[in-house]
Amino acid sequence: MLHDFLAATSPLNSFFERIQFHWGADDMHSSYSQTLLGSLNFWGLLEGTHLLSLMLFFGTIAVVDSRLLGWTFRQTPVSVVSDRLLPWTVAAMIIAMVSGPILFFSKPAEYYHNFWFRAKLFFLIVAIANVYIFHKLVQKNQSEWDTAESPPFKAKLSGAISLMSWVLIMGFGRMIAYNFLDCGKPHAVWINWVAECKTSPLGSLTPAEYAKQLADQKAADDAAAAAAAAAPPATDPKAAAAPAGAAKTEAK
Amino acid sequence: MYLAQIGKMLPGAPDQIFGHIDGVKEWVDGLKNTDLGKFTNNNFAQIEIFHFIGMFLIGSYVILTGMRMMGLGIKEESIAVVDKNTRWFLHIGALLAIGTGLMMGVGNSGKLYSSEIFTSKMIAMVAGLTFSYFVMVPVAKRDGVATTGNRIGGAIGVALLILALTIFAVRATANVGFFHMIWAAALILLVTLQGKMRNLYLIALLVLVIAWQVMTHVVIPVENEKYMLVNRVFMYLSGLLVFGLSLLNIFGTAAAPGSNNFSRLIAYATIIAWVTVGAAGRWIGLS
Repeated sequence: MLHDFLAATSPLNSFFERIQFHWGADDMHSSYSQTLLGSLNFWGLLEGTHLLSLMLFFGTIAVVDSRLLGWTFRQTPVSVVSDRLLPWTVAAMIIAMVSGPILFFSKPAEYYHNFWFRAKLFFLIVAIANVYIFHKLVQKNQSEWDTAESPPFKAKLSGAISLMSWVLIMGFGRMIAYNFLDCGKPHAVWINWVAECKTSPLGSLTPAEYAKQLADQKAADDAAAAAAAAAPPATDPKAAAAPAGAAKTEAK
Repeated sequence: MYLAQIGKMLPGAPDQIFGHIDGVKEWVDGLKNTDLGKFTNNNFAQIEIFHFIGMFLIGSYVILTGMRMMGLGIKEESIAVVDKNTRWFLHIGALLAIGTGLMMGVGNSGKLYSSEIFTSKMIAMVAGLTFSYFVMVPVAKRDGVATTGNRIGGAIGVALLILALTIFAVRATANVGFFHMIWAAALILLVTLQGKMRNLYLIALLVLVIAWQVMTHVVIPVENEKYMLVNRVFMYLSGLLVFGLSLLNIFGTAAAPGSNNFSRLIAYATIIAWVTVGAAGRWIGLS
């Protein structure tokens, strides 16, 4: 209920639509968002930079997490691995955190209702919360297990959550480019709920609603076909044209 | 103009290289209709994610071991220890990236067959695999000591990498993506250059980037016919700055202690080779 209330009252929909379609737009120019999306080279460079920064980010965080899980560098203290690698992870993260929002800016109204984008943000929050918990709780007594080949369960759990979160964040990030879970297509209720499709310009559609739409359409087509079959066959082309024209006018 | 002439001399898209062989085009066109092609196209998004994870894992090995070979990173451990602990990333990454890459190739055979960037990517991949398996791993195992075989492997890898980079730089559809390699090398330099040299380099790079932005956004707008030319001139200028300083860094000036020339060269080249593979892959998607 709270979700529905927030979705219905959220000013973000119109805010993102204003940004995507109107901000910077006039009779001569597209909006800034559309200019970015249609840019000759900048978009490609930005997306590639985002991806390559993730390569550095994942390349280093995966090793730190693997050490926490006791999979690698078992003879090396955890603090050495993290102290040496985390500055690079942070540098890559900064590049990704700059390029990511600019990528979002190119289609904010669409991305806002993108299922994968929301899933990505959810796991980003999980990953950040995990970092916070790791620093506050797990690292408290790190000196006791810093040199242990196999760190304690809580450190392993933190490493596993981190690794899983980042894999999912990257996977979901890539899925944003694919449209098979976009609003307006028939999806399970929970997918429509997560993406807040109800308030999106494309609306929400469940498989049951879609089936009903198809059935209604088929019934309408069948009725039209039956009416056409029941109508007396026209012998004079002029006479045949007249009722069709009249029907058209009525429909209008 | 000269570059365009060089471009014409280099290998182009696979259809230009293999087009004269009877039956190749039909075979390539038919690949997407095979069971594997259909499976790939039905599950492309998921397969692509595994491809990326594979590339990231390769990145993990080459960045960590490469940086250690340049005297940076986990300096508390020897190069051999860093290599031993991260080599499984390389093996899993290579298996994933090549396996899923083959699947994606089968599903997208028609597009790749006429893509010049694909040629660059494949050459860069062979360079990356040569560097990683025939040079970096054996040299790292011996803590930075290279044999004649490793040096020959390194020379072959460098030749392949130069070929891949040149194709990437001169082909009209791809040369903007060349910035990725320049910036990757620029970032490596930012980490590897030591002392005053790093500050000077940072200033030079900033001046170049600001001048470039002013030229392409204020002086010559995107509508101007000279826009791409100016963009390209700055690409080559920044490329030359980074390449020149990389050579200086590799061969002794302001390098981190505890590394040798050959190790630094291989580390640089291996990272750039895999960045080229990744960037080219992305530009295939964008072209």
